[in-house]
Amino acid sequence: MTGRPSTVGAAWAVLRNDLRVLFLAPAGWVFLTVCLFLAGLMFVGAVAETGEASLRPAIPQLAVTLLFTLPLITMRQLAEEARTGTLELLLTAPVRVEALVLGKWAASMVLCLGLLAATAPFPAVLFLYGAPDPGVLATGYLGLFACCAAFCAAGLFASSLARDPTVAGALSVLLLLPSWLATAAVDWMPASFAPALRRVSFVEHLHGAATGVLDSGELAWFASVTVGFLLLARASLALRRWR
Amino acid sequence: MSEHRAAGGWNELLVTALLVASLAVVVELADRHPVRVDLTEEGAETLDPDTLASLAMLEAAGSEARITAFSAQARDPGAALHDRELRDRLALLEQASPRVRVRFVDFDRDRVTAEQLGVSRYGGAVVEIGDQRVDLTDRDLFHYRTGATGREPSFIGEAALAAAIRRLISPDRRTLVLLSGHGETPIFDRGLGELHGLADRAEEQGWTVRTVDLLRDAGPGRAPVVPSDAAAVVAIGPRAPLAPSEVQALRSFLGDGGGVGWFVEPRGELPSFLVELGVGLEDGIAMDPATQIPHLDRPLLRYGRHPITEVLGEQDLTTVAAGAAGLSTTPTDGVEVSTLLQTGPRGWLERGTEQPPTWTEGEDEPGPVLVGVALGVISPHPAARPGRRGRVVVVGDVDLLRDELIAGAPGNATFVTNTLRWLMGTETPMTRVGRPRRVRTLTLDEHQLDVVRLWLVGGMPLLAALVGVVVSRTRRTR
Repeated sequence: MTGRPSTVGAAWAVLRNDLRVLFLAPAGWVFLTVCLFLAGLMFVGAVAETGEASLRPAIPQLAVTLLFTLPLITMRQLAEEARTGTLELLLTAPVRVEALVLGKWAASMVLCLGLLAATAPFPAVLFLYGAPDPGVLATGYLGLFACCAAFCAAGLFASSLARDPTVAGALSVLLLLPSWLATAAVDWMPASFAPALRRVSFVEHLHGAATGVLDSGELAWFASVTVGFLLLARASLALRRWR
Repeated sequence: MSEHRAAGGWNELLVTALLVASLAVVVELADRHPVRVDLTEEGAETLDPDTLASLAMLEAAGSEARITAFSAQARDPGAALHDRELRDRLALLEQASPRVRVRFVDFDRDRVTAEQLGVSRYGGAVVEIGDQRVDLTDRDLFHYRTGATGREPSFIGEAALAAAIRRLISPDRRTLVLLSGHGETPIFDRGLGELHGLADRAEEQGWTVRTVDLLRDAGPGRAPVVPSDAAAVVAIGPRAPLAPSEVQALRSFLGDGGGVGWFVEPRGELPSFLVELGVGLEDGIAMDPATQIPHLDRPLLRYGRHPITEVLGEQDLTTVAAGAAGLSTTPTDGVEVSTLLQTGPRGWLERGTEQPPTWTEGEDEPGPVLVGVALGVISPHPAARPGRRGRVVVVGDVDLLRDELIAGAPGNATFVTNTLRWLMGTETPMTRVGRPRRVRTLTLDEHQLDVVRLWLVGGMPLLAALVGVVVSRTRRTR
């Protein structure tokens, strides 16, 4: 008789398994290809328009790109398992739900790290043709990483709700869309709405990171959104267990 | 069993809801008490101490400042950068003080606000406290240069915004008198004297700047006197000697505790009251191996210990002079001498005419060469009245006041402002001022941009796709 594995050990196992699925199947590479293409377009467009030796003008656009592309990865993570029936097996196995959620989230984050690493030519171009501020670059990447963390968590929650990956993907975009639209709404809604809209806008919360500032308020926002969605994903799976 | 499951489910939901609610509290707390760490190289996202001092004054006065800023004309090159920089800087002010309310207005879309405020030009700002206001123009807020991408704006308006707040809070307007009538360099003629930056600096401090010809203003047969509202008198590059009665007026003003600034070029002349204080003008030009390249006659100056230069030394901000005269000092009773500016020990006083100027043993004077000096004049000096302390600054250069060096050398704006502050006897701290916020730009031509586009939009994704195909095939063949 084997004992119940520790949460970290189980999460590690889930992470390794999901990474194998992501990198050995075309999905992960399609995601990387699409993301790099869109990110390249955004970056070159920003450079051509502003001539700035900074990632700053591209960062909000890169984040929006992630909003629409990350669901390609997260939509499959739980919904696909639900569709094929393996989720039921996982939920009845002696694995804590936390380990399952953390492992899946960590796998998508590893892919995001790979994506961010693959954008290294962007700062290389900036250094080649200008003198960018390394501090601004560092915080810019930190901001994008925070975005990835929050979007992956939201995507995972959406994936935990649906039994079909496509529905999960659409749900994930729908969950995050208001946060993006709030940015644009600040300009045309009555001024009294502006503070509330700014609070929910992820673009507004990227401002410090894009300009070279580490802001505890912004970091706390991304951390809370991430943890919040992970908690919701955990609750969603746990409720399936109780059904 | 089903009741047990339902209870478990509700318990799960309740715990999650509580945890999510506690996260909301954490976000709220972090939002209310933010900690910001500026990681930019030049501290570009941190307000100047000068600005923070103005905001502290605003807080102490219990007033609220409303800043309405207007966009640049959309079709102007660099308009997007202009507007973004302006928004960012205003946001910094708003973050720094709950007593600052900012509003950015698109001049093209919202003409009503512009008309209500009587604003008819793009790119400026209106600072209001109560029913008082200060209008700032685009030129007060931005400096433009032509770069690789066209017209590139640098934000220079933080000091102007801070000064506007200070001016509105403190109605005490001191007067800075600029001496005229001896061939002095004019400061209000834009483009001619190119000393308008100096007038801007004084205006930013909320001072009234007035040009005074002591002899002419006194009228025939009357002894000239320094105007009673003058806090300091400054002479910029006088070329003709002062009349004895003018010297007497300035000596008397100094003895009463006034401030006198004297900026003089090589082969100029110092009035006798300064010579009496032990200051002399050397024959020759101050040189240093460390110069503002490519100008060999623009030494990067070192600082002595004085409140004017303290912040410059601490923050390693170099002040640059151009073709500066060397000064000398002689110990004199009742005169406290402090070095402000001097060349490095390897500098020299160039007395020859060879080009490029080089150190010549026996002809040139070895350094360090004194270029700027501050004097405190107290009793028992005959000019000083008991209990009064006169303040004098003598600088062997006029060019360091010029717009080009105020904008182009890191320390000149701060040196000039702090010198004026010290002479005017203000309580304002001697802080760094006038730091331009430069937008770093790329030097990239069309061909290079095409190469970058090809590589980043085409090459990188293609590489990722190829790796994916290889991995996929390898897996299948196994």
